[in-house]
Amino acid sequence: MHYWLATSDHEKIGPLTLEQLCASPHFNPDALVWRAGLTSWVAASQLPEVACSLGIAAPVTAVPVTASVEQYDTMPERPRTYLGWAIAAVVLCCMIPAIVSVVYATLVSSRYVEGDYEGARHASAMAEMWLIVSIVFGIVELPFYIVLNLFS
Amino acid sequence: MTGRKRRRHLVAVLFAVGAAICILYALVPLQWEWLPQCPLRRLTGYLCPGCGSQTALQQLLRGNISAAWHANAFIFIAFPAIVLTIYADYAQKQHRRLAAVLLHPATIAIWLVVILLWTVVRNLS
Repeated sequence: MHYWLATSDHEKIGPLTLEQLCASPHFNPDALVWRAGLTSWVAASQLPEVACSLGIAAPVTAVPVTASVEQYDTMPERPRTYLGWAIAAVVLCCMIPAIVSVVYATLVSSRYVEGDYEGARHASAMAEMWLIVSIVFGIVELPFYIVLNLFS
Repeated sequence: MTGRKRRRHLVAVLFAVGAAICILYALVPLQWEWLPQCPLRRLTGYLCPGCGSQTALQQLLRGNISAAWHANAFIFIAFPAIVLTIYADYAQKQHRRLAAVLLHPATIAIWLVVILLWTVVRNLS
């Protein structure tokens, strides 16, 4: 499990292990923390596993602090999924490379939500590559269809 | 030239080219032998999810909306959704909620299920 820590200047630090998080100079009970599975950033004292290392009693229920727009900005932007283009390619040309691109688009989204930003970026690059492959394939085979049509 | 001006020029050129292609395409005969045909249909006889969208576009450009709908009904619903998805992908900063919904893995799963269902249904009827 990786954690992200927001500094008082709304700068994002991470991914961190639980030990690295607790050792950070920016870490205090009120510091905003995020990990996969949380819908918003929460104060460190609200997160049971983090609260234990702070030496304070863990709260009975973890109450998520409603995140402001400002706090959301500490998350990096989602890498492009190229989903719309890939779906158009699937529907119009029913091509296998385009389906691979859709699968990578799914990976971009799921990894981004989990907080795996590096993995999401990699999946985004793969989605783009497979989309280009399907477009090139489509352009290359187009003349063959026309010729096939003319001779049948 | 500033970036904004250049972008406006690009949009104008793209619009002019698009309009020209539409006018030319509207004059193309419906069963013209030079039109590319779907390889799946040619090889197996089955209709792919996009089969008929070329005819649909031709009919739409002639103003025959019901004929276009019969050529491929799915593309009518899917096209605006695809355009919106592409937009959401590029404007995530401005439309965070829209992007979160449209690019969610569950939404992608719905897309694939709907495309599959449409393909099965149109080949059965």
